Amino acid sequence: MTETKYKNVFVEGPITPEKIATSIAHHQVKTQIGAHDIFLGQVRADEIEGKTVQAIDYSAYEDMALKVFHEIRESAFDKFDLTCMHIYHSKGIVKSGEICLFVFTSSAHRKEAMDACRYIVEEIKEKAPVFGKELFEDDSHQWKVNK
Amino acid sequence: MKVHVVYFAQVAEKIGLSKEEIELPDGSNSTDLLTVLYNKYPMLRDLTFKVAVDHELSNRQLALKPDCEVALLPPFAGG
Repeated sequence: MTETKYKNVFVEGPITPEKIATSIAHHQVKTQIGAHDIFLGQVRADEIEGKTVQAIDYSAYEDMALKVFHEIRESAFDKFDLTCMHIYHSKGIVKSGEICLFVFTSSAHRKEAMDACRYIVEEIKEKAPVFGKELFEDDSHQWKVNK
Repeated sequence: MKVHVVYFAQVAEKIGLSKEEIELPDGSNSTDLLTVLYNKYPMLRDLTFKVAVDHELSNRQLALKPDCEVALLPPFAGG
């Protein structure tokens, strides 16, 4: 049973450059904004013991993850003077070179937007129950661990 | 009492299950549950995971309520 009271941040598959461009365009009407910061997480083709990561299959403890993303959002709004904020994370398969995390912060001035963006990314990496299965070309896999 | 246990990622893969219900004596805590699970799945001792009760992570021993949801969460890999 999935709770619906929290905003969904999960996108099936990769986050496309078109989605990112559209999201930027939507902010052109918000003329009180003077600075955006964007973080894009991209799947790396790591080489591990002679095998190369082809893709990551993301899964999550969704009910808890949406609550954690909500708490991160609330605390970022408390800590920083933001006009708006968007977070999208992939689930399912994202190939190497594709985007799996999109964090977008907007503020009147650059410092708040940049500090908030970094804060949100670090919080997501530490607290969101999201799991990544790194898939190799020979159909074997290993589980990714955030550093 | 009955508690709902959910498993993720490498934990789910190792024990071959994503969720189950476990019957515990009333008044049991999270350590009691882990003792049951370690006996049932000895391979859990080789795995790294955190425990969340009703979507809250805790390092401490927590009292369990009937029908609560306990999650075994391997290291996070978001982003």
